[in-house]
Amino acid sequence: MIIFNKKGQILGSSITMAWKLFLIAGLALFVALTVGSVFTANRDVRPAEASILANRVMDCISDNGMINPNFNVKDCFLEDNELYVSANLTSMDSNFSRNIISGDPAMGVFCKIQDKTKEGATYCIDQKYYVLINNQKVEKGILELTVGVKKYAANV
Amino acid sequence: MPQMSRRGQLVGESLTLFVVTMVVLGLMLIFFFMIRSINTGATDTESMKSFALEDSAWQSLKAYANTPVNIEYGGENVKLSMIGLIRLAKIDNSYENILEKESTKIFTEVYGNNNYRLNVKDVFSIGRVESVSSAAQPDIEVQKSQESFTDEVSSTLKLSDVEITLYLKTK
Repeated sequence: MIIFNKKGQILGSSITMAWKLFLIAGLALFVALTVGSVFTANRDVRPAEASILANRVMDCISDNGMINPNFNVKDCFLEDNELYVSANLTSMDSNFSRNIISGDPAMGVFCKIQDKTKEGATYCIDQKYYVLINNQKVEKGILELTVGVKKYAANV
Repeated sequence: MPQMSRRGQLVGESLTLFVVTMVVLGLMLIFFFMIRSINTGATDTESMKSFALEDSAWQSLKAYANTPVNIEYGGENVKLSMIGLIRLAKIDNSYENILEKESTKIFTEVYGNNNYRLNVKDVFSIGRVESVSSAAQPDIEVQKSQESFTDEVSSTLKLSDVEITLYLKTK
């Protein structure tokens, strides 16, 4: 049996304890950094909001792909001056067409600003859908939906 | 109870500490990559566009399935839905032509010629379909192979007997 001296024992346990403390401190730092990076990251959620709104509007105005020619998008979401929806319904079988806009029409112009970090820029999404129009007889049609989300201050 | 030497105790403790360190480092590495994928993942503009496009494909498929089509059946003019026509074409392949023609007309007008492909399982495929045939051996059956897009999203409408998939080009 090897006998350690007292000094060696104290040194050994000090090193072990220091290492344990270092490990705990490292863990705490890691948790703080990773959680902090998630919560402090500046995230522009306008693309997500525009996509979700487009899907919601489409779900709201169509029933199994069928759209009433007198459809209205105003009832599909809470209107405010930060959102813009333009729906253009065109028949492939007749001359029927209808365009309705909800929100500030000027926002349609701001969609064209490429740099979305510029003040006033609106994030917009253009979607095309094949639809059926319940216009006395069922007609084939195309719905072009443009959804814009301004919300600059909250996202940039 | 076996008596352990002081040295053995120290070696055991050090080994435990080493293993714990390795496990903690491994876990930190796993969490780091998980957090990184959350930070750079699903919220970027491109993936949101894909998400919206996928919904467009889904909505268009629903309308497509319910589209009325007039066909001649047994000398009579019959009105069917596109799903009905697909079912008919599965039994009688002479209806495949009208099915392909109607489907091509619809989707080309909506999404443009080279931006989609449609696959009705076991019946037909349209959009970016390349016909491969050999002029030297005309008896060889014409094969159709569908070329997939590098970046595409898809939606599938599944019924008990019919499966329709619409692929849309994202870029």
